[in-house]
Amino acid sequence: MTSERPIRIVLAKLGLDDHLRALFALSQAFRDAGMEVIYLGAYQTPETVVATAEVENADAVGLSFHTVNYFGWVEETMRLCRERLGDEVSVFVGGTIPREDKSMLESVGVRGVFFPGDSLGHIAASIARVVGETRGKAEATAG
Amino acid sequence: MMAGEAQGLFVRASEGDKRAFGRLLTRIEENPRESSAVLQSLAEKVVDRRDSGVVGVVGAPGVGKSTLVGALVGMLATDHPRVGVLAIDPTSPLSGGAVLGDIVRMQAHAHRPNVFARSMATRGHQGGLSRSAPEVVAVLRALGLEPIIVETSGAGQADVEVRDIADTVAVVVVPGWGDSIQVIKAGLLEIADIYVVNKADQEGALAAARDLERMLAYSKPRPGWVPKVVQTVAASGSGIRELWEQIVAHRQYLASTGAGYERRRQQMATIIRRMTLAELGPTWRDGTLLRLADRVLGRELDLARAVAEAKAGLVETA
Repeated sequence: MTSERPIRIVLAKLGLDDHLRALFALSQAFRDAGMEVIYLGAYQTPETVVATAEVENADAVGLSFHTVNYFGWVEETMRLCRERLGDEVSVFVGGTIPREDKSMLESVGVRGVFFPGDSLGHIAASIARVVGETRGKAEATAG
Repeated sequence: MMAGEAQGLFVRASEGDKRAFGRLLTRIEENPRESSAVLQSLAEKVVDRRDSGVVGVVGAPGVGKSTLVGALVGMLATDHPRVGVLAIDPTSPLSGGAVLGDIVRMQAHAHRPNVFARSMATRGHQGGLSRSAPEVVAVLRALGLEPIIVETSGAGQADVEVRDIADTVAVVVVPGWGDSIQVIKAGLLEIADIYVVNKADQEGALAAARDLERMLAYSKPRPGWVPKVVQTVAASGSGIRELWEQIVAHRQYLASTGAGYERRRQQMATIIRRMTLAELGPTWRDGTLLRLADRVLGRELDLARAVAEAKAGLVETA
């Protein structure tokens, strides 16, 4: 039963980057994929995103960046997330991310990195797969 | 996952732990029956009148319910120990997914340590609430959150079932938008305790308020309570204090007349019905449930026994 519940994902943009079109498109795509999107929109901080994931018991956090100086925001979010939520929440990053940054992001614990040109369907499916695996592990250790 | 774990989460949530709160609500949403033990302690609070109040906020999409709830929470959080918010958005009938976009408008206050705000999707349920909203709201009451504000999914005239969980129902409309007033004529007129004309800085606000007052003058009078019309500008906070004063006045009306007990009775009957149906499935006769609700609230019967009797009664009449 627990593995059938809809995936709850927090969607946000950190800092002053307010290019929201991508976030709207992602919200619709995730909804169409059967997820429950907790939509925070722009002007968020790592604190507001993690606090939301906590009280909403989210499975995932999706961060969208259309700015060059995004990595510090991701690092801080990962730090807070690990501190407050352990490994329960998977963090995904997308937007105008350079391909060569992928391994750097994964090294700080990001579970999926998406680039311009990745289809919405691919992004939704990747997130669903990662969350499914994380839930499977959690249930195995709990049972 | 055992009931003991839900109890543990409940204890930590009642101490202010938001992570425990988050996990507890997921547990209750996924399996409303886990709320049984928690709800027993709630029944005792109800009888002792130590229970908190639930305000339902209803209205068509776009009238500003979320901004209004955010403004109200912002005001209440300064002098209420713990405030609860449940924001419900519709699940897509095509995909089963949802965009939960209400709490984004409450972000200024949602992260205060004494504000507990949660988003829920209707998950296929019709009527304005989510499938397990009554159990979740009952758990919020048991946690002692006060007040609890429930924002319904914005289906407009279909949101009548908010009455099953709320003590005070506020219906929100906006000026000049005929639709938002039309929808309330259809069904919400019967359930509203307070009317709110939001975006009252727009042209037509006074006319909208007068329209409502005129409609109320022609509708069936309710003994002791005349629904008030309040004008607000949620985005600026204007009128929010007046709205709260009307909510408090309505609660005082409920407390000082039989109307309060009648609401509690209906709500308890709703919970007994739902918990029984969760175990058995078929439809039920409301008279039986109301009598059981009287006995639970009169402390003749605890909640688990009431459910057992309801079940036994069903077997006999089947």
